[in-house]
Amino acid sequence: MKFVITRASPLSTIQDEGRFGYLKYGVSASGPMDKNAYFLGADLLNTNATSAVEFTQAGMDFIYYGEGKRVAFTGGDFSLFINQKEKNWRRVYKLAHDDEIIIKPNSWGNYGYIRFDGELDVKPILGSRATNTIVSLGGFGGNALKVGDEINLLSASIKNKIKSNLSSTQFDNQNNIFHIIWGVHANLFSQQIRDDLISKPFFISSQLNRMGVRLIDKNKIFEGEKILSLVSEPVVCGDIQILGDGVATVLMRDHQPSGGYPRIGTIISSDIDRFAQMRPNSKIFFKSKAVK
Amino acid sequence: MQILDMNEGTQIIPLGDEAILVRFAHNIVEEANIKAINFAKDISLLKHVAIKEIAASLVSVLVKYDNRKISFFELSSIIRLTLFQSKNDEEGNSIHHKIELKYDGEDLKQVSQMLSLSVEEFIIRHSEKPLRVLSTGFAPGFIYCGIHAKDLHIPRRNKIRNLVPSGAVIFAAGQSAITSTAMPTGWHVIGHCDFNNFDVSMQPPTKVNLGDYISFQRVKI
Repeated sequence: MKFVITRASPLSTIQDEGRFGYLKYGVSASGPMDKNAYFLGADLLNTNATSAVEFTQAGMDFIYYGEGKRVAFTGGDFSLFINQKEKNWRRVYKLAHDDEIIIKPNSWGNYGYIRFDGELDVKPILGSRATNTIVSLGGFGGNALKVGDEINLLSASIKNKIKSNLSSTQFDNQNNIFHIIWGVHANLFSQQIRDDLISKPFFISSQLNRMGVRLIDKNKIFEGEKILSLVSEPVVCGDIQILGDGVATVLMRDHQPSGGYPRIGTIISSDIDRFAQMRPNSKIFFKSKAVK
Repeated sequence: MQILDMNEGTQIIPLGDEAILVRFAHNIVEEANIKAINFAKDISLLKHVAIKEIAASLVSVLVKYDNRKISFFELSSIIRLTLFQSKNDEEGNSIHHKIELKYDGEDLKQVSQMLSLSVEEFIIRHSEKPLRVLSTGFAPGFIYCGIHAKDLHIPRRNKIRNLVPSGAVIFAAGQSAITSTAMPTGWHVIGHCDFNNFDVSMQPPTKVNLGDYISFQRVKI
């Protein structure tokens, strides 16, 4: 059982839940940009296999070879074609030998997931199949997937699925408000800047990837902000980091483990999936929240 | 902002809703670095079910937690208790690593000039005493060590070099660092070594631990 990629959107990768416990050795967890969608795939399949293909906005095409195999498609909104016939998105299908799958972008979202009832046969590195292309670790030789890549599939071993603990309900992609906890350097910014951050809109730029999402600051809230020479400290996914040139970036799953730029806030974990799916030019708002 | 201030300026700060940053200082001082390393060890020893990951940085420690199992305030009080019991002195079980270094970096001349030393004088000063491993988590296998004598401190470069190879020894801000993966850097490249501190087939994947010592041994080019 295998599949061969015939078209891949840039920076599509193999992911699993993530590589945990290696931050102190300098390795970020990686893992799916939209965790909820990733878990939904396993819930639909009722599988214990943990690896998935994460493809980006332009979708992915592949041909399946081998005996009948169940597959789930989840993530943002995409159009699915199996052997040229349009199918419903976010469903499970049984693939047969020589089936041709085409996934095209639809109304919203940057990331989608292909999960099979069986692991993708790539070697786990430090206990995980997740890819971090920045440091060439895990997945398919540490690289993004490309045309011609052949990925073998293992049989599903146990039928008991791992409980995802996440809600498998669809999130509201129209909701553009993201909650933040004030960050570890919030007190280095003026009250005016902090007020603006949670009242004025920002826009998603086209510079987004698994490391971070650059924001467009049309109201120039951070213009001229130059906080330099901070000692390097640990950073986390969701941190809103202000670079020396006043550019705000939200750090995502493949972020470096530590950094020396000021961080004014952190998007809460339950809003990250929705944030990851926001396409370039989307208007967004931040709202502050207290941690309990 | 929710910052809980402790004695002697130690801060417990939420870092999102799944992590706490324990900060011992705002700049690199050896005493704070030792406190951070000791605290990271002590809190690891608790093996608390709600704590998912602990990583010490230069003068702060990241504690990641499962927010379905513990709240920020509950975990803060565990951290506070651990801090009270943590020692302030260096622990004795560190390993001394000797690393052969070729002083052939592209910035070696400029670094020497900035310090008003000859290249020869700089090399002697740079390798004169063992350096403590201050932090390890910046990139896979990456090692920060220091702190060099005050008169050897220089700032970072204005321009970032796009890619330095694995095994580069880079220098800035009173520290030397060894890369184990190719990476961009704003630090000065002073030399290269064959030492690689990252091997995914090993468990743990690195040889050098926080608090260990490193001596650079000059290799003739």
